Amino acid sequence: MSRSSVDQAGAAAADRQVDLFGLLAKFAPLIFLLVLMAVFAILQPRFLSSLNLFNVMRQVSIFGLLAIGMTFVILTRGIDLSIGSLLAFAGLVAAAVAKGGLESRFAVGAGAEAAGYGWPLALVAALGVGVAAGALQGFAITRLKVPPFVVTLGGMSAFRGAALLFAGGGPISGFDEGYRWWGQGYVGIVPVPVIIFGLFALAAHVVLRYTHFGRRIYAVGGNPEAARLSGLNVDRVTLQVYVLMGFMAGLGGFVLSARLNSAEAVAGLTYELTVIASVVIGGTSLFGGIGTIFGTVVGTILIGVLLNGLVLNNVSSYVQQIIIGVIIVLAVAFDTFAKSRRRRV
Amino acid sequence: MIKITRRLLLASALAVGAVTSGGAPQAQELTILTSVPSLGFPFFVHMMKALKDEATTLGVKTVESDGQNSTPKQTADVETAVTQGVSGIVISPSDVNAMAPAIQAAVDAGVPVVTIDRRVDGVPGILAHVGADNVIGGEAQGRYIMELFPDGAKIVNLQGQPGASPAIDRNKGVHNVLDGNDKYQFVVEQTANFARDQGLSVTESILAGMETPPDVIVAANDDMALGAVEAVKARNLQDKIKILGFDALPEALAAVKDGSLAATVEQFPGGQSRKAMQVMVDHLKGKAPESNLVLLEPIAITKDNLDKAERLGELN
Amino acid sequence: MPAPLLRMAGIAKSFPGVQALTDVTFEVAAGEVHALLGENGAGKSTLLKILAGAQSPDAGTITLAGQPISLPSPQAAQALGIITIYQEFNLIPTLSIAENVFIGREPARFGLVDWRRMNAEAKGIIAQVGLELDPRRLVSDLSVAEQQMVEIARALSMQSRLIIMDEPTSALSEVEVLRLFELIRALKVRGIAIIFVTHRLEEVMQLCDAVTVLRDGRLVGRAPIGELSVDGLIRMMVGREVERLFAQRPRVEAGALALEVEGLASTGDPMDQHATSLHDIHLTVRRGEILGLAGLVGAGRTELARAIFGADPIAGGRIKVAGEVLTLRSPEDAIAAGIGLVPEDRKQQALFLSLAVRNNLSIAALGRLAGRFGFLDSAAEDRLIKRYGERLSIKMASPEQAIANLSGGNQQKVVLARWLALEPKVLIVDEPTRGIDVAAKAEVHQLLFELAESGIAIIAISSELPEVMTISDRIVTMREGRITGELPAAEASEERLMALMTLRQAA
Repeated sequence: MSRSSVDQAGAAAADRQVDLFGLLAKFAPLIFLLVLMAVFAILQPRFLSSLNLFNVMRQVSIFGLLAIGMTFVILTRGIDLSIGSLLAFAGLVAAAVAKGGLESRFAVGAGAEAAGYGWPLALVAALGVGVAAGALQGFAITRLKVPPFVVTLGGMSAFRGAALLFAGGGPISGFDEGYRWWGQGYVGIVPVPVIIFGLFALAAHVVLRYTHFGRRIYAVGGNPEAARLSGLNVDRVTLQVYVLMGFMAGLGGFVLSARLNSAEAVAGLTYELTVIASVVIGGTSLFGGIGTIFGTVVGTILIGVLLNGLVLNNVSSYVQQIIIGVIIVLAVAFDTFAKSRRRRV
Repeated sequence: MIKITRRLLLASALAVGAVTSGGAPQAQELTILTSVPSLGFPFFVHMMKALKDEATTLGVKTVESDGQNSTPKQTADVETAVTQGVSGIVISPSDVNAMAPAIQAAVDAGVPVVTIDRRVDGVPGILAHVGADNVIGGEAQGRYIMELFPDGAKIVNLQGQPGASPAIDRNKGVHNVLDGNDKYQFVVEQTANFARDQGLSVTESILAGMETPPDVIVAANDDMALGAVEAVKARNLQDKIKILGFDALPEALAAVKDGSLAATVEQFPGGQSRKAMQVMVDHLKGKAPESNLVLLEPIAITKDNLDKAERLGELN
Repeated sequence: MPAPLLRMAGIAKSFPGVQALTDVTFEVAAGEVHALLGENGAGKSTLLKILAGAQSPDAGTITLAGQPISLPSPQAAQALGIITIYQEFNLIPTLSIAENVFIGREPARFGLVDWRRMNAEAKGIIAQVGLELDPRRLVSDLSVAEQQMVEIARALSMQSRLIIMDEPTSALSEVEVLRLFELIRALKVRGIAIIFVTHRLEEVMQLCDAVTVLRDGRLVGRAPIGELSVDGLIRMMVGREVERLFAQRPRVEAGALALEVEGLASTGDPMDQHATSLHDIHLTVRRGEILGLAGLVGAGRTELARAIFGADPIAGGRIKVAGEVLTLRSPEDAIAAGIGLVPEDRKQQALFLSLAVRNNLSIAALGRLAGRFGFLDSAAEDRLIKRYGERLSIKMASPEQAIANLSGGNQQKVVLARWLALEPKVLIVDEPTRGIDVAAKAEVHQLLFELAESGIAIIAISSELPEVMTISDRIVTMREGRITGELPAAEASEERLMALMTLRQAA
């Protein structure tokens, strides 16, 4: 074999290696998810039953809606800690609208339905609360120049308080069928929340990849100063992102209340942490500018699979917490490792 | 020593009251701190309401404290109240061990303390404890399961927040009654952290993992039980699975009424609270409590004895 | 020639798909200032990283003072007295000078940091490099030149035998460069070897004793400086004849007034103590004209550029484009009026390093690529990228390539393309060739000429006087936020410009 052909063979091998690591880096969270699913499937064959897989998808769909919004926020170097509280507040407002006030908060049946304003108005109310709260926070971040962490930490406390105050601490439950459909219904064999999650994930993917807004988000998160000097209105983009996050929290609150057939002020406790974990597991950088909706969807499902698989195997709840903590760190470590291998190339 | 201080305090409170409000009846000047672990939970909202209602009836003022699920917050509230010179403290501690120092400090400062629901051990000088025993409540659940299924049952147990004392005690109560009897099998035991959404998703996962559905789902609170109700309805198993809650929340009472819950456990938090306030005010007026431990017996509430539930009136 | 202090022999290093270094031999003697030259991508960085302990070679040996050494980590290299001063300084801006000098080896007493001793010793150490500053001052309060001196001071305090300086002069003004050279000569006398990396060949001729040139990862040659000319060096670096270092531009008749600045004043940035406030600036630039802005660091050139671009608020005066008075609240307004800015610091202010070439190039032109419903017209974007990619001959694998993987010259072309896509009336370029290699520099100059010919009015800021004189039609000098003089480029010389930049009164 001549010298040059050896070189060529070496170069080709090197190219393949590049591709391998490139693929690995791109799909690291997905690979991790598949391995995790394989392990659970071996331990408990019913894990792969369609019933259980739809369960997982339905369980993650509300986290997923929030995680989609959170991806936008984190892409701009932001964070939103208020979503769990906002979700509870929006859910309660929707429930109150559906029930026509707080008087008949547990009533069910024809009489109770007649008193309310119906689910369409309830949905609008939940989204309205979310958008207004998001705009308020976005305003504080862009105009008052308070860091997102602080603003939304304040929001986390304030919206929880608002929810408790609004409903006097108690839950509002028992909705009509039209309302419950949003959380408990099916289209064919697919649960409605899964469809909502899927549609919004698709839309968010398209927005991030193919629209001006998406381009601006990556630019603002990648380098805010360069974005400003390129003529982007950084404040406007930031505000829009928090409004979007508020919208998703409002939607999540509505769907959760429909799923539970109840809205309560203590709903969504610590959701913000689960959601941030999902987004980060999906490969989105907390430093902004890097991340995809695909990754977020995978990260969200990974957390759902983890919670479901441990319960399905009847693992002690004490041990569960340890396993969850370790797996979250391992998932991100795997992603970081894969990316660093690619970068060295 | 403590007694003297307490008298002095009372005397000075009276003196101040006399000056500022110009000789109103003496009970008007009594201010009592009412503190609960978290007003985020309806259970404690109800407790707080009962405390305030009873205080109004007895003609004393209250200062409200919301522990916000945080021991430091509740500790700070107690310390502030002692500094402000409240006449007494009626408290449901968020954590019986972690709250002990703050309660000890209040007692040492001569402020009488009555605890509700959760009992603090190791603090001498607490005026009284009024409560219902969570273990006995768990036993009530267990006994009702035996009543429903005399021939035995497969049981799914939804436990409360790991490490929390009501979770531990209620779980212990259920096991006390059913353990050692081979007819009753705990097929799955999982936590759903006292939360409704987790009650739903954990039950979904459990049901998906089982060949045949269980006979009973017993939950350590009503929120988890109501979440389980939704999961069971979604699988159309409501006729096969009996679900038991705990706390007798109005929403749960509505569910018992319409049959989606088999039972819930009433611990009479309102009764406890009123009793605690009575003990406190009696003491401040010079009447010693009959006992420093008042326990109200928890009972299982079913369709047949719904009228015994304290909060039935909140249904409409 | 004295026996070498450092000898690297047969060094090879490959990354998957790339042979970065092949059989490179490199020697430096004690007390020698040795220039390491090569175009971007020639392998300089890899060689230096190996020497700094940041990467390990696949093959080859390294000896220091005759002893074979291995450099598994940056700590190991430092322990042997090999200190690297990177282009992006390694100082922690939120800490004081003394803390930075002694970072990781603070003098301690009873296990606690001995602040008094640390500050006293730091004061002595920075005095050696001519800095008379309070060692308790924060590094973030220092000028770029001062920060560099602190870096060198730190290197000195570590008993260094070999100091590697990667483009130390790129951020310095001429006066500061001269001071740095004095310092380097003093280090030489103490027997310290210095490896000097630069794109400025005049500096090599002026300062260095010998030179090693790399090209495509291989050693091209090494020679004492006396045997070489600038043209000879360039030939070695680029491997071809370069007609002239900087092609002179064919002068064209300037057109109508494009930009007028009247009585512009700013109050400086309260957040940034380095920012200079501007006083009573009057300027005009015509269509097709390149106006050079010369001044030392701190003269206010960048501040003027940012004020015209709406990036910083102004306190008074008017800015007109094509005769119309502008109201500038943000860069958005300036861009709408037809002004573009290629900022001074490419990485911090212009590039989105985490994104692809595509996103970097079209970001400012998104408004022109509008499809329906807020979607991008991706066909139009592809055309745009193709057009400017070809016009500026941007070397990239594809528009999806990460911008971080492009050379400095190509990155700068992408930034230029970003503005050309908007067809601006006025383009301000701040240090357009900083940190890019000689061949790319000439290309950027050629581009600026073409842009001027197409009718754009250009303001060019550069710290390199030869560059200012080459590319400008007219040169305005600044000092401490004021304009101190104006010359047609044909009448300018380095001496005259330097005089205008350093004297209070216009000469």
